[in-house]
Amino acid sequence: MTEQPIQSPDDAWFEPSAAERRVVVANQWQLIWWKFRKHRLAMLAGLVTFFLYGVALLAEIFAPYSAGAYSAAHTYMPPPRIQFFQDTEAGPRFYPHVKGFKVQVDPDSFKRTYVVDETVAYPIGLFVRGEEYELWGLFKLDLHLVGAAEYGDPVYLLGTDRLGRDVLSRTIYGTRVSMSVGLVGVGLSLLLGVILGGISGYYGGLIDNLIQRTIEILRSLPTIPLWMGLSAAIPLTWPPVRVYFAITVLLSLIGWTALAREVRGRFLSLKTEDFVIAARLDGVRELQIILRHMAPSMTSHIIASVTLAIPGMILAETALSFLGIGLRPPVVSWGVLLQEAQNVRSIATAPWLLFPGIAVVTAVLAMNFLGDGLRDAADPYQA
Amino acid sequence: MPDDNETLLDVRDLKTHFFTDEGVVKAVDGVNLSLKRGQTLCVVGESGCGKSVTARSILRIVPAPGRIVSGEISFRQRHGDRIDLARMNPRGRDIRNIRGREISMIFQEPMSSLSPVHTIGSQIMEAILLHLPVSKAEARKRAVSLLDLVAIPRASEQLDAYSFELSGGMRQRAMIAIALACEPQLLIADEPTTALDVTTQANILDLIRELQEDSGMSVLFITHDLGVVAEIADEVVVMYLGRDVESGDVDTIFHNPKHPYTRALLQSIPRYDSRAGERLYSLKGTVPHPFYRPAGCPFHPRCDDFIAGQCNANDPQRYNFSAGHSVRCLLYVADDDRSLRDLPT
Amino acid sequence: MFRRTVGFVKAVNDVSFSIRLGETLSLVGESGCGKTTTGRCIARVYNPSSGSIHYQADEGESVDLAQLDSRELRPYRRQIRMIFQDPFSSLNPRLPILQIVGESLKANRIARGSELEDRVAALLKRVGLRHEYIRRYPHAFSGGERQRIGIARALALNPKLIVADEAVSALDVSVQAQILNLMQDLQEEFNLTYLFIAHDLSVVEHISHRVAVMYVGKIVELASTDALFRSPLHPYTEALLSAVPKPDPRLRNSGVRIRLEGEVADPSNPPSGCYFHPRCPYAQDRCRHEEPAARQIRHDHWVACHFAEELELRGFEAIGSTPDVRQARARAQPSRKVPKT
Repeated sequence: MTEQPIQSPDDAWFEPSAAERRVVVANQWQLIWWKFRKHRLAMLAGLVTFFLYGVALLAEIFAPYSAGAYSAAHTYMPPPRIQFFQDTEAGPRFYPHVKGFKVQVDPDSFKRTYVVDETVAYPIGLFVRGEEYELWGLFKLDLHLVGAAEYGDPVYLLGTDRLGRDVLSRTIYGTRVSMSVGLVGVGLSLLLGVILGGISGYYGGLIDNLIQRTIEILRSLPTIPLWMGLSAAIPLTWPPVRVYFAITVLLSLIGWTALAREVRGRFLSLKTEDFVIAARLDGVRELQIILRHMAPSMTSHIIASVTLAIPGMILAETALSFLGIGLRPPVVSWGVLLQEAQNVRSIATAPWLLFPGIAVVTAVLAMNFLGDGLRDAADPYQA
Repeated sequence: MPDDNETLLDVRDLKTHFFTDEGVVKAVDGVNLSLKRGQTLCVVGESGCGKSVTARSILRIVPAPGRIVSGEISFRQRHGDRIDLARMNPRGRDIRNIRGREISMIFQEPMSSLSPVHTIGSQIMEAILLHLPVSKAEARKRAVSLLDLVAIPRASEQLDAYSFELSGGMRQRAMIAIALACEPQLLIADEPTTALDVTTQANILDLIRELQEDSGMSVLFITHDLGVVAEIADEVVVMYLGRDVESGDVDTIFHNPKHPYTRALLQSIPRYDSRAGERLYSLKGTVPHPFYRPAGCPFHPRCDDFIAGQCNANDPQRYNFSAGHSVRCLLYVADDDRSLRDLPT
Repeated sequence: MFRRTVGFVKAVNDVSFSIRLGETLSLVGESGCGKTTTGRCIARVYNPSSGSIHYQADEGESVDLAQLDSRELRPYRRQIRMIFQDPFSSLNPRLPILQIVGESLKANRIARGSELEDRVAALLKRVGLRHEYIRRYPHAFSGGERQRIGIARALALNPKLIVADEAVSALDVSVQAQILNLMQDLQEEFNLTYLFIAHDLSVVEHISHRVAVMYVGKIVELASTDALFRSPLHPYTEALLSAVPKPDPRLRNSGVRIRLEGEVADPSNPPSGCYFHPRCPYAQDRCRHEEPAARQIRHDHWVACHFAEELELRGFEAIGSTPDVRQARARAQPSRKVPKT
């Protein structure tokens, strides 16, 4: 037997460098992460998304007040200016505070306007004691991330609404509902999409045809009227939590089609890939082929699609609630909050009520950029 | 700059590097080649040797993040002036007047270089109208005669065909017709027959040869197939890792190769007269990634004639063996009179 | 409303040939001639719609693979293995080499755990790769190395027959030579039988004992390599041979080239009579109407042409070797014996 023409191991030159040694044994998730990391905007968007879900999870800590807390004396109060220093005889002193407001009533129109009262300063701080709450129904706490240093001071960093409720706190509680509607809704869509798309792509034939035609019919229906019709069927007597779940189920019943198509397309193209055929010739059983060879090739793409689908869900929920047919008060979501800012008068006099809209835009943009980055990184093997 | 009128294209020390996030890929790192009027120069090498990037550098269509770092591409224009293509703005008017008019290119995969939404005829006419002052009717007549020229049957009918209606060989013919629309001085053919069957390949090679005889244009032919080189080349440049390692006329390269790489390439082709069961000569290892270019002579880790301390340390210079035959290899040392002799063994 | 029938394409039609134990039989032809489909039917990637694939199992009994369902096929899947053309798409990029090469050992419950690692490492060593590579992923390897991994995978179950579908077509010439040598060594060592599917005739000439030429789903000629290359009997074979570029510029104008006009026939709508007649320079009236049957003209030389006896066809001209090449030949050692048939 003659010697094999192999790379001679003596050649130090053929030795991979340390960086290379890391690359040659890197699995797909490491490669995806390395590729994703280069996408600066997506990285930033990922951080924002992470932060938003952090806020949703710990809304009680982030919010200075509870969602329902109101003060009849402070309706439509504008956001105060935050000042970090106070002038004293000894020069400026670090003393974060907001100035108080005086109410002036126009004698002609009886319109109430807030004017800054330079004489009153309410100190603010981080991790202040305030209203008591139960975090996740487990821990009794009274700690808030920001707020009035002294419990009871009327400090409303983003102003108040028509009942004197803190806009900042309500937006933060709205994050919890709105972001989770997206997540739960997409979760349900994913379940439906993977199962139906997988069946469709794997078996083909009549089943594929049936599922694909159903998808086409569902996709051809105009969504807003469909949602309106379906949500009108939700009984008014239902408790808010049940309405919340009804809405997510409703959104995902329409949202699964795109995911199902993605999964089906992947299945169809993977089915004829050489490495799948090779696994079949290796004697691997069908279930194993799907689980070990086909599914891992799809997961990264599916994660990217899911990330891109969440903003759609958030927008859908916001739209429905804004139209008054989605979630209803006392549930707090961005859409419900924006409903408050529906009329021209309140926009003119209290533009800070639109702040939840900024939250919606931020969340949707962040998740879109994140999804784009993930999609680009999803196949690290393409040159 | 060469001043003789016979040299159409002269590339000196061309370097085209790709500045990627991971580092600089020196795809072309000091290539020299020279092409005379009416001749065919084959650039041959394995994948990753930079032969395609060399061709694209000449037309200034190197994709980002690649760019020409240094070197000279001297091209003799139709009216006799010499210009340096390497110094031109790749998006400027001057280079656009050269592309298609003076230098045309055909690619490996005609399907992706032909538009699927325009007919073959309209694509040929577009090329004609872009560079020549003719009317539409004249352009159409010219397009028909071009399709005739490349031996596409029923030329006037095929003018209205779309690229997907043609077979691979016919598509490559249509590609050639577009490339020849303005009678370029130089045709760059980047692996034009690699995707074709052997019978179709033979026909396309014949066609290129005939067209060249009729029009007197020069051809720069990029290929990895030494059989094709033997069929069509006048001059040959062998490339390895972005450099020309040996160049000479086709007979010298095939019958008196000096560089160990050239010899190895020739020896690894299965030949008809081999006795059944004979082992093929094979090079060890593979072409390394351009990130990890070996020091000294880039070929030394795979070379059978490797001299320790010499080949992995010194960069071989180019020496002329005889007129038109140059080698970059440390096996050969220069005499005082700068002519080469074999190293005593 | 839901039914789609586009047309019935006979990619492979009436293909009959046999492969002898320990030999290399090559299938050649232009793209679309059905050589890949034939190979994949034998490996039972596809199910042939009719016909039989008789396989001589170890015990001496002959089984018809075409009749077996997937469960009955399992033991034969071990003996008939496949090497793919594309070294990139044929290895799952998401699995380490240990899993890729060891998949069949695991699936057939032959080895697991550290035993599996040892066996995969030994296989890698056998195909000329280092055993440490088992933890690496395919993206760490070049095309030639990937093809070695593909060969190691095929070898894992001690196969009898390997269907090599264009196994060296995607490789550079220097790497191609390495792989061809490796395949020849393995054939000798394990007494393997190869069905070698290729379009490069010089490679085919080098590695095969017998060659079958296919045209539009039919075998038009089948003979020993020497006979086929020196004295072909079918005009299509002659045309194929004359089109091969010869790697020597001095032979440039030596042979007469036969130009094939027209295109390969559409397999869904083949011409009448002999499928090759529209392109055949020797075609006569009979070729247009009557389909030629495969006949054995000389010993072990089958051809499907009406005029095989009358035509004087040219073979592959002998090519003079350069001194350098002879030198290299002297260094190389012959390592393959002609198998007993």
